[in-house]
Amino acid sequence: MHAAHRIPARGPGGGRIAWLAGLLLTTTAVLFAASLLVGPVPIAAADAWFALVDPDASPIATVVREIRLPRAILATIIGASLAMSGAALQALVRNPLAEPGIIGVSAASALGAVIVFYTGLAAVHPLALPAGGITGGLLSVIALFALAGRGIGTLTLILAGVAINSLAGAMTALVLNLSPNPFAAYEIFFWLMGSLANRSFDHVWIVVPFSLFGWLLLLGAARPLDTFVLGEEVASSLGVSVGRTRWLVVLGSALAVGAGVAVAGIIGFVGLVVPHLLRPLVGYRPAALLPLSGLGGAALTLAADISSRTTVGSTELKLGVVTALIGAPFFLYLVMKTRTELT
Amino acid sequence: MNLIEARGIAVEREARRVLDGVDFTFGAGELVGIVGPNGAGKTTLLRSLLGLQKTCAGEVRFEGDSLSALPRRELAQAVGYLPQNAAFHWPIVVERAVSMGRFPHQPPLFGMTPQDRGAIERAMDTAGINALATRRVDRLSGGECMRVHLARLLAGEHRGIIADEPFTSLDARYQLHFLSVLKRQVAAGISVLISLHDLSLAARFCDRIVVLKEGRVAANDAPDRALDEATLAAVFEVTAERLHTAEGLSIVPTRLLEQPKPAPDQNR
Repeated sequence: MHAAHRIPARGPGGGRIAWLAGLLLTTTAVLFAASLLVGPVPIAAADAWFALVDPDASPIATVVREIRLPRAILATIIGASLAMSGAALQALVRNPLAEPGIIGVSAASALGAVIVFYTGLAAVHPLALPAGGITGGLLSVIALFALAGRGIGTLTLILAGVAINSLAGAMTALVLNLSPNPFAAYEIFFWLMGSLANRSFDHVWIVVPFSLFGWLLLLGAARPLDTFVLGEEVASSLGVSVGRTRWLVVLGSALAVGAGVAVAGIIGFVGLVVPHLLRPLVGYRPAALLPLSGLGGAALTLAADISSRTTVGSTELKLGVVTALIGAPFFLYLVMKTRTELT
Repeated sequence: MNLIEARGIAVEREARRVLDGVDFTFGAGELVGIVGPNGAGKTTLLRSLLGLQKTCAGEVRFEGDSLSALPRRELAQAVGYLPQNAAFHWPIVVERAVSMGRFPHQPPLFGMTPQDRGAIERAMDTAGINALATRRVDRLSGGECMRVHLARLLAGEHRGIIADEPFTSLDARYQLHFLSVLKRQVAAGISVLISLHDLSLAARFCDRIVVLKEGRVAANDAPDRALDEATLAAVFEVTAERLHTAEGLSIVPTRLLEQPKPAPDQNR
């Protein structure tokens, strides 16, 4: 009869969510540190720590500060962006398969960045590159909603994603083929299978402001998205502005994903795997899932980036290849699970 | 004062008048039923009263204020809505689903207050789903699901409740349970507006019945008068046996007056 003993004071699962957040935060911190230590040049933990605070530019300090630190920061931020965007898009369209890579946001962002990069616009202003990525991402989400309308079914979602992905991929290859560029084939590969190799702090400063702003928009949508579990009609009747929530998610994911793709290319499936694994642990609540997915996405991307430079001898794998190797079978599994809905 | 007052509501969809000059009042502590053939505009009317439907003419007033000027949140606190074919899109647990009803009352960034928890507890008691509190909604039967939706509505502690064909797919026991819960709400001063297909249930439980036909009000009266032979013949194109039982008026359709025309498919 009494509420007090059955409904915990902080809402269902409050304690478990705090515990999960702590675990994910620790994992991210450990992987971040590992990311500074692991690579072709072995560096001991003490040396790496010293290199971070050392004012002199010793060779080790250069490796840690100029090569590995920006790379670790980018993995953290881009991973968090991808996973949070995935979680928000999934809550918005009420479909666990909505993911920046699958629905074509990443591919369109890459196209936008490629156009800006190879027309020379990127040299005109440092913000042109992320602006290109964000514009591409934004157009693709808007196109997706125009194609599929409200309450997107799995089949429509995937087919619209296939269409946007193929078009953006083909256009990216076309732009690169037409550009006066002897390394076109290599560059196409970079954009379609993202990587964090050879990124500097210049790239970090491009990504950070847009990502943070994108995260704020996505987190602003978190609580309203909770009500979407009952459908958009009920959400409206509970006082939620469905249109405003949709725009927060669309703009937020375009900003976060677009800026990330503009410096790292397409890193797929992070936004699919992370929210899917965490969702049951938070009782399927978008409001709790969003921030936790951010932490989980950072951890997964850091781990994938570390393994991309350690698994196969001295050759470095593309980060996008590693996440696809993990994510694509996962995607297939999810499609199999929902296949009754598809037929 | 009336909870909701609508004057001359008109809605057009694909150049067709779905609602055509509907006047409607919904008083405090009333149980009003909306009946009508498929495609008569029942859902559209309910959605218009909640501001969820774009209207092309007319005005809806809520407790005297124009609906369009009323903050969304204030309306959400005052009126709860259960749409047709309500569904859960993620397998949340029952208690969580019910707690959604508190959403309009909760300030952003704050968790549940003791008041919220009390309301959720009472709603689950009233709907009879205490035993289901920690079950996942995807593992419930249709009848149990509808009770969860009912509890979600009640948890909002609204002044008015609007439900669109809430028990079309429920068995007799759940239908009676649902209606008797609503009847008790009405006794406590809450206004309830439901659309329904079962004319006997409508006649027996509602204080007043609005009969819609092709987007217009065909009758708006106490059940006995709103559902008389003439209206049943004109609106539903059937003859019907009207039985006065100990539990109230019961209406049994007996014969078609003519072949029904294919109804325009309106419910999307």
